[in-house]
Formats: sequence, structure tokens, C-alpha cells
Amino acid sequence: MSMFNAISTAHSGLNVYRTWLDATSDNIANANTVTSTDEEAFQARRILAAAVPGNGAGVGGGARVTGVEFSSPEGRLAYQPDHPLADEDGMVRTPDIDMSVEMTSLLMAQRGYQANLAVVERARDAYRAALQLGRS
Amino acid sequence: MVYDVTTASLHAALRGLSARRGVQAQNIANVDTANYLAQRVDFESALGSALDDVNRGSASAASVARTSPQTTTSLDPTRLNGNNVNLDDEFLAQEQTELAYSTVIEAMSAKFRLMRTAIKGQ
Repeated sequence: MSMFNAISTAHSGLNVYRTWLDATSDNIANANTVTSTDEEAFQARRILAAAVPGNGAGVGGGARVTGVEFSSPEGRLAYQPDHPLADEDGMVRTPDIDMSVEMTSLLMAQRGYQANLAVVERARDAYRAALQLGRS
Repeated sequence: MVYDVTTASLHAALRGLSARRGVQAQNIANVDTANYLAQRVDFESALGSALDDVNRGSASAASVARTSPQTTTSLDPTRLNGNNVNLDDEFLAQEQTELAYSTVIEAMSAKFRLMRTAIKGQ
């Protein structure tokens, strides 16, 4: 639908931020996922986004998710000798996830999502106002 | 003629938009139904080609009025339960459908206002 460009653009932003929220929640959910040292650690996902080229009017077409980057499969080695997955040295592999980074991402993704929703509301009000033109 | 190409195309657009509104409500209602695939309504392409025919002179208002909205199944990736309804998409599409509906209603009222002026002759 090209009739309501501002809404479509905000829609693409909403999709990006929602994907980011989903990825962050998955990272947080797996922050304590322990694996044995001969397996790869859980890899945190980082969303990559890019701008969508516009339709020639000089205005961009929003944003889109272009891919995912993974954190290191090596993770961090931790000494937990009584863990069932521990090797003979008492080591296990924990994912390379920094909670402060994840919580900050969560906040940014949430704020970005809200901002795009605000754009949708403003655009809708503007279009509604345009419909009142010519009425007296 | 009262039922000219303008009225017929606005009428077809209203029919398409209200079909779309129904499908969107159905998609939202089935957001957690396993194996449900989101439905989409397209009336713009049929209406557009009918209007092109009218412009070329090979069709009349009646053929514009006969166009009907097509419902297709969304090919978006599904979640684990086989469902591919996306609530953001549906709510934003509802917003756009509502705006388009108001716009078409506004155009139709303007058309009828013109006719009324012509009938009254003032």
C-alpha cells in the first residue's frame, strides 16, 4: 500500500525492533545455558538492520532486518566441578552473554518500538485531519 | 447515469476494503490457532485492470462493478505451531484499511453532493 507511506515506513521499523526484541529475549533466556567443554556454547544473536531505498521521491522506505550476527561459539569457560556436564578438570562452557549489554538492548528495542508506534498514531491523526478538508 | 464509473469503482473499493477488514479480524482471532495461515485480500489489481479497460474504451461501469476481491494465503514464514499471523502486521493493516475506507466514503459523499447539487439545480 503506497497510499499511506508514513504508516508503511513505521511498520518496517516496528518489524526491525520486534525482531531485535525477540533476539534479545532469546539471548536473556539462554544467558545461563551451560554446555560441556567439547560442545559449542550458546551463541547470542545480534540483529543487523539496513535502510530500505525509497521510491524516488527522495524519502527512504524504512528499515529492514538484513541478517543475524552470532557471538563467539567458544563462550566462557567456568569452573563448576559439581555440574553434571563438567569435564574431568571441572570446567563447563557458558555463553558469552553480558547481561548489562542485553538489558540495554532490551530498553533500546522497546523504546524504538514505542517510537515507531507513536509515528503510526501521528500519521493516522494527520491523514484523518486531511479527510476533514473541504468540510465546513 | 447515477451508477457511473466513479460510483462503481468506489463501490468496488468499499466491497474490497470491507472484505479485507473481515479477513483481518479473522486473522487476529486466529493468532494462536495451530496451523492457521494468515489470509490476504486483494481487490486493487482486479479493480485497476477493469479501470484500465474502461480507459481504453473496452469496458463499462458494469464490468467495474463486477470485479470481486480475491483472498489469498500469506506465504510468510510460520512459527513453531504452524501459524504465521503477525499481530503488528494485522493491526497496522487494520489502521490502513480504516483510513482507506474513510477516504473512499469521503469521495463517495463528495460525488453524491455533486449529484444533489445537479438535481436541485442551484
